[in-house]
Amino acid sequence: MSDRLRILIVDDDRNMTHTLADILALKGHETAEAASGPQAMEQARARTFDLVLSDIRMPGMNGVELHRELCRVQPGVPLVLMTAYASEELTRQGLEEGVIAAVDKPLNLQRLLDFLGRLAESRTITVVDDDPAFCQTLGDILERRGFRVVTITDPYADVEHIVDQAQIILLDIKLNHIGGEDVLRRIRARYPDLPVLLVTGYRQEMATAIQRALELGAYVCLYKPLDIPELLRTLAQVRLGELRSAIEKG
Amino acid sequence: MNLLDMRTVLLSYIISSAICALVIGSLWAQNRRRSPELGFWLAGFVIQFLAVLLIALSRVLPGVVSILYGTPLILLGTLLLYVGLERYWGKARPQHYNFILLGGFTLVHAYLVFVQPSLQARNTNFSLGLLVFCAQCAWLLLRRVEPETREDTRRVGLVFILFSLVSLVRLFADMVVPQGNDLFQSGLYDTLAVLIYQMLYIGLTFALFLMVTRRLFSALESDISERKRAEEALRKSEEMFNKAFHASPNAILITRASDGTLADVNEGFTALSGYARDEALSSSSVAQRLWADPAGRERCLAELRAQGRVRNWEFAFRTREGALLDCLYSGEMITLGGEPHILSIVRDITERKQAEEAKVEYAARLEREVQERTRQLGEAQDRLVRQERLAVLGQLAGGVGHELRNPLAIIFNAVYYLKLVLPDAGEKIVEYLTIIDNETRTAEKIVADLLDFARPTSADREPVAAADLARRVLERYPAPTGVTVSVQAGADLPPAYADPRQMTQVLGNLVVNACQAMPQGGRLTISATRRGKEMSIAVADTGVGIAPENMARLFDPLFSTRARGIGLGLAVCARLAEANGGRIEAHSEPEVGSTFTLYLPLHQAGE
Repeated sequence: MSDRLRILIVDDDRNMTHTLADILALKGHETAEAASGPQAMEQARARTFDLVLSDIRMPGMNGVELHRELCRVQPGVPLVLMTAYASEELTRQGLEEGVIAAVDKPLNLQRLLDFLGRLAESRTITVVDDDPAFCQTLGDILERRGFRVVTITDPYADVEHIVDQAQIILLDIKLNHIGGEDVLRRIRARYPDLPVLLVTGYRQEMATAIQRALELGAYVCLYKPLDIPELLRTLAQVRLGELRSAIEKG
Repeated sequence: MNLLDMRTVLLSYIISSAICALVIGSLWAQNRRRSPELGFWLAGFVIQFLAVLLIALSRVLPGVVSILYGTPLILLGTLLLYVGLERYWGKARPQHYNFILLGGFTLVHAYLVFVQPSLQARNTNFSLGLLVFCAQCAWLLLRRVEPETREDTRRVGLVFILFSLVSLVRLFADMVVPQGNDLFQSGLYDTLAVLIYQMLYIGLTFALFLMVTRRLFSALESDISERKRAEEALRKSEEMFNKAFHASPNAILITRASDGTLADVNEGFTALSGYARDEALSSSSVAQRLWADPAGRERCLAELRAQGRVRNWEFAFRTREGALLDCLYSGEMITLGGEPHILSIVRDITERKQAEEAKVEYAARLEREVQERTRQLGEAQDRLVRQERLAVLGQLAGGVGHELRNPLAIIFNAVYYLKLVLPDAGEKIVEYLTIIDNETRTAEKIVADLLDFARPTSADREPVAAADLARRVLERYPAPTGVTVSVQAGADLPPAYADPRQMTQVLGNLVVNACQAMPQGGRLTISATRRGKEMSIAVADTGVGIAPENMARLFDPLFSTRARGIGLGLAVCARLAEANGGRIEAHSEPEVGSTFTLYLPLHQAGE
């Protein structure tokens, strides 16, 4: 999968969406334009986007309301608000609800493009599970949601190989021969900050191991069968801080 | 031959009248300066003596002469005595009628000598004349004189009463008793009469002598009591003067005019000058040392010599310890023991002067305060007007800014796109695209300032370290090449309590300004220190500096010295600093550099 992102641009000013879409298209991204919140919702229902760039103040539905609606259709979709001059209250509300950032118009395009690069990278998720079927299905779902997925079924795989380009790791705690716990420890030793999400089908049996893993710094533990919207929200949560710092740095 | 021979009687009369004349003469000689009217008395007595002499010598001299002059001369002498007495007691009156009477008696007498000679008639005429004059004398001395002097005059008056009585008796007796024409053949009666006259004459002289003596004595007595009173008055006045001299709060000095030594000083002087009285009087130079300005003393002495007095001259008085007092000098030339002296009165007006100065000072202070208050009031009013204008400006800026930002954003995008799609465009096109890009950025900066200014500033305060702030600011607003940056922010510095985002904006603005002040490069220093309960973060440059006339308006909105920019940057900074409980101060020296210092409250535990 390339760095090509699917980006929805929402602004009541056609010239804004148009110029921005042209620039992003030139940079190799796939863009869609919407002149209002409802129009954007229509598009979002039809296809998945990796990023939404939305004006904050629009007639009918403002950017924060749009984000709220979008999350219902596509949980965890990254949204960046564009503001010419918004009330701080509205911006704060958006950030609390999980908007990645509110950037001032006129956009610093170079920073935006840099951010898009980081966003593309952060899509990479490595799923480590000895059950190939689980890996297969989860991978399909996540890829549909815009993630790049690497699946690893070999519990003896080298840590370097596991991590590779991964931004997030989904790790089954109960692997065939060795415990996922050991894999986690190995990852932690090399990458202390890498977010690791634990997955297990044995809530009771593995309770103590889960406890130890959380103490080792695992982000959270999810239970099979996975609740996909919850997983997506969790992933969005994990990415949020990272993306926010990315957009800060530009 | 009678026992009382007329010639013997006359002889003794001559002798006794001569003695009487001598007595009156000596009385006159003693008292003529005090009582020149005694001359009349003497004249009267001398004439009487001559008359008695003429009568006694009537046998030797031609009868006519002695008879003609004898009797009228006695009357003349009596009249002169009367005139003298009147004058002696200050009762002089015109005497025409008495002299006419005297003339009448003389004419009658002459008639009785030459035309119808009769000794008896002449005696009657004489007795009448004597009665008339003696009665007048008695009247004068017993009634006309002042009652308080009648004690002195009574005796003389009684003598004249006796004279009058004798004359009256003779007057009647002469009419009854027949007489011969020869005086020397007179009988006992006439001889007795002459004898009685002689006695009375002696008595008169004695009484007059007594009278003069008594009057002298009583005059002496009154003189003495007068003098006593005068002495008493003098003593009292001296005592009063003495009291006034010493009790006066003013310094009083008496100096000898010839050499300036002090003759006397009062207690006021010793109190004022600090010199003891003995010291002041024994030293010859004290009086000179009192004048701080010798020229002033010379002028004062010249004025005293010329005018005799000086009133209320201001001069500096030097005390014994050398302190200078503001004094008023008044002086007067006086004579003391026959020598010219100067009476000087010195009044200390130092306190009065100080009070006057204090009053002037107070008035000036009041004036200054009023001016200051007026100025403050004016400033407050200006501020109010400005705030109102700024509020309107803020609303307008917010609206306009928002509307401008969207088109600006699109222009940005468009330029960016064109640059992307025209990588091989001609030089000119690239140049023009850059111009559009830069100008749009400038426009956007103005809009950003406007919006910052219009935005209600509410600070989201938290503890923030100076070092973190400085790092964040320099990350966000990096200094251009050519500008050396140094940061001095101790790690031990306690954190300030402020909105980090806003403070980053404020310091960023200061850093950007500092860099713009150094187009040729220079040194940018950010230094944080603790100042009591505050933290100060100074942003100093080595740039062109700010003209002194612009310093006051530096933080005023819409004040800008740049060709571009609407002058809201520092105004926004000041507002943000204020919203965080801080302030910004600016110092600048043209061609040396400027320092903007942001003061922030330190974080207090519990906030």
